[in-house]
Amino acid sequence: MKIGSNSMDPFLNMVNISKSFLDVKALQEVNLSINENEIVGLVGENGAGKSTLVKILAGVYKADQGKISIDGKDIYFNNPQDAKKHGIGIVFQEQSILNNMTVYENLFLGQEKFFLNFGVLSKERMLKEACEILAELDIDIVPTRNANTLSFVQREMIEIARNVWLARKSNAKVPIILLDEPTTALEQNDIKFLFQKLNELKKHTAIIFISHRLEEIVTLCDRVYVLKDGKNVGCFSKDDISENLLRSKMVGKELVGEFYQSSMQRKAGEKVVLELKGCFNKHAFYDVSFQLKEGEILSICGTIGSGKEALCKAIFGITKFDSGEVYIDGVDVKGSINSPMDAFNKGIGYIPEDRRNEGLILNLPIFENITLTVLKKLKSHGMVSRKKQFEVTEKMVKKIDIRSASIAALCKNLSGGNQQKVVLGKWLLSGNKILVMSHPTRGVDVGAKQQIYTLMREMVNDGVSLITMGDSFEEDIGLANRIIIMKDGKIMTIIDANESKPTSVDLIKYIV
Amino acid sequence: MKKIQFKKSNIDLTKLLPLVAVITLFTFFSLRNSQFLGLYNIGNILDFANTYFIAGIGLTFVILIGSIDLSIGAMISLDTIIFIIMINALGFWAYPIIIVIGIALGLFNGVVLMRLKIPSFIVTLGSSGIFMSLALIFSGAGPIGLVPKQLHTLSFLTARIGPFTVNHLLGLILFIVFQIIQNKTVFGKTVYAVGHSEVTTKLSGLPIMRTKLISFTISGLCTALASIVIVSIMLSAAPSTGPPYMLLIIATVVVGGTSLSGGIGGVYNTLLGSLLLSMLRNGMNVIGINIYYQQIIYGAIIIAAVSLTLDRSKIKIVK
Ligand SMILES: Nc1ncnc2c1ncn2[C@@H]1O[C@H](COP(=O)(O)OP(=O)(O)OP(=O)(O)O)[C@@H](O)[C@H]1O
Ligand SMILES: [Mg+2]
Repeated sequence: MKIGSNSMDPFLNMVNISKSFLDVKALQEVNLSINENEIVGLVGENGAGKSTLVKILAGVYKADQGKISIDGKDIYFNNPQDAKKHGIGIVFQEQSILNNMTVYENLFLGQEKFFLNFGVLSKERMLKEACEILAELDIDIVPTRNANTLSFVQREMIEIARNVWLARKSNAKVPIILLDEPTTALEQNDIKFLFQKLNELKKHTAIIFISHRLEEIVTLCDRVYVLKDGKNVGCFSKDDISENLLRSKMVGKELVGEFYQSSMQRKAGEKVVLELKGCFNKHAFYDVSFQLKEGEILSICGTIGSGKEALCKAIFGITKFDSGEVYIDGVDVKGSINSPMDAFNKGIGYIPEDRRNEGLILNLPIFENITLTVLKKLKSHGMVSRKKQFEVTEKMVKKIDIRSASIAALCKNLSGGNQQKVVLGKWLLSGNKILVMSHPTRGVDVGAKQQIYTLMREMVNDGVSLITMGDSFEEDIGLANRIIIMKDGKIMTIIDANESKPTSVDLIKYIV
Repeated sequence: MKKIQFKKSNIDLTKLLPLVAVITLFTFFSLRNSQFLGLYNIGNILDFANTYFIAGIGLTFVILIGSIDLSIGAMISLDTIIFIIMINALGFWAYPIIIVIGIALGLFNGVVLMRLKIPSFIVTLGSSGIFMSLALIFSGAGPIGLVPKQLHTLSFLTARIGPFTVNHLLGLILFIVFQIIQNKTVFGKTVYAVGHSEVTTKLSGLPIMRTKLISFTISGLCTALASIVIVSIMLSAAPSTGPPYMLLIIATVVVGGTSLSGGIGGVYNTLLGSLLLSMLRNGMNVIGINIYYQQIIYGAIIIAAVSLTLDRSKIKIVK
């Protein structure tokens, strides 16, 4: 140990950070530190304050109280630009890559001042530096490529590269990269790819990584902080971390019962509520035939490009079946479902994976969102009764345990899990009997996940039928009565999971 | 901290700010000029505000869903000309006829928008040309006056009780009716939902196209009603009647606090906007600002109001 240097102190230190949003105490005296060459995990339930904490570090929010120091020196930021000057950059889940620009333009977005020659932007210099930084981080993307051709994970890499480059330009000693749920929207392969890159990247940076998937945290992180209700409840180093430990710390108690509530699983009814025969979409899938029974959970597995997303969208009238027959309760409905509204009127519902943009109206309060599907039913004397809106919302909020100060709170201020519950509540209220769910537990914490699984079980026991695309094979297997496996637009097989559950390996066999 | 609180109460602010502006302006002009509170002047202010408010109601719905209707000016020309021709020929029958025609013109905009799926400003810019041509054809390109024997068909609208007229009563009734439609009906709720997020609304099984169609139809209807008011005051019509109204009707809506990005604002805001502009115009006239310069003020006000109310997070790139 060097004498005189403060090498014992962490490189970056956040001490006693507190932050309130009006009446919500998002963070209370939270501590977090991080060193060079370290990936620090941050876990906690929805609303625990993870995003708020990294946003404070990135200068997006200002802490009400607390201190941040880098290399032993206290630092203060007023805005993200100040934080960037200290080498701190954040990659939000809502990506900030502009589609109509090239990779190199995106890399240096907002930093064009570095490339001015007498007021004229030097494309050569931008390209040169873009090549350099991409080569250094071993990112294999041509800088002149158009950003709209990039995959999700490639876009994330560009955002990371942008932050590393800027940290260098600002002469920051160590770039600090904050990743808020970077894996939520990624497929298994892409996650592997990202992790490999992050492990290389950490050789010259420090990384904070937020995720709800505990297995990711366990494999990737050197240290993990657990937050609960805005407070630190523990910090564990690599050797001590286990999924179970993290889970119990996050929830504050052991999760009781089987995670997917398989004990609640019932055999589906005999009645066929939805049947597809030889359905075809010229861009996505062909010859798709299956039956959905009353009270059944039917999972659809497959990689991106397997056609499962397009199939689910077609069932809800978002995209088209080019040919084939569709029966609902035995009645041929082909041709009469041309829009989501038609599908809705036929008793189908759809929970989109992008809940912020497609599932919710973020700028409207909870009660307006939850009652969107039942406005007509809440009429008295021809007018939508606000009183009834409040009543049904209050009931639903209680039933599915949405945590918010008031039902008049705007949905944009809810945490991810509570947002998802609002979407679920909306469809529970609708009374529609067939629900298509695209990643219903994406970005939702373990506790809330289990609640959502329970909710799904309760729904099917009430006679609702579910088609779901899960976030993992485990989820699909755990929930489903039957599992459809799709590949290259075709159904490979349909596995019965009523009697005994298959394993992930059984499914993967058909997919690769 | 302060910043976030400001954001939280954003929606209330759009209701409050215009009200404060109306009261401030009213107080200012009352104190500056003793004639401002005179019966004749108040009547004047109300007349002006009333016309713009009625036409602005329809545009409010169109803007709430995130669209725009640029054909209102041309519609006023066409409506007023048809209305006066019909009165001269048929008397009171002109009223139901013009209302049907107003609805038809709005419906036309809505159907074109629905079928062709192109931006509303292009649709209504185009239909504006069509309506204007029709106005020129029907009028023979010149002004048409009311035949004296039909004066009674219109005069009751402008009969004064104090500063008030039957026209103002029409404005008041429309305010109440559309306030209810906006806040209490499935259509009204859907309008706000579409304005905030069309995708979410669509995926919740609500009728997007019908909502847009009705909004444009309301715009046509309200324009026809405003045209009745205009003719009742001017007792004549010409192809050149409508266009000058366009800028100020947009101003009325946005100055009231209704956001061009959709979902924020409403009929109440448009009422305040109409009073605000009317008092401003009246005040400028009283103070003696040349009418040629007044457009500069209106233009500047539109830009300022829009920049205050636009939700920039919804608009990725400004074109
Ligand atoms: N801008 C805001 N205004 C009001 N309340 C907010 C705001 N941002 C966050 N909150 C509240 O602060 C708390 C912490 O939210 P935060 O987004 O940090 O949670 P999180 O741990 O990131 O959750 P998730 O896993 O769902 O993303 C929540 O109760 C949330 O409702
Ligand atoms: Mg978060």
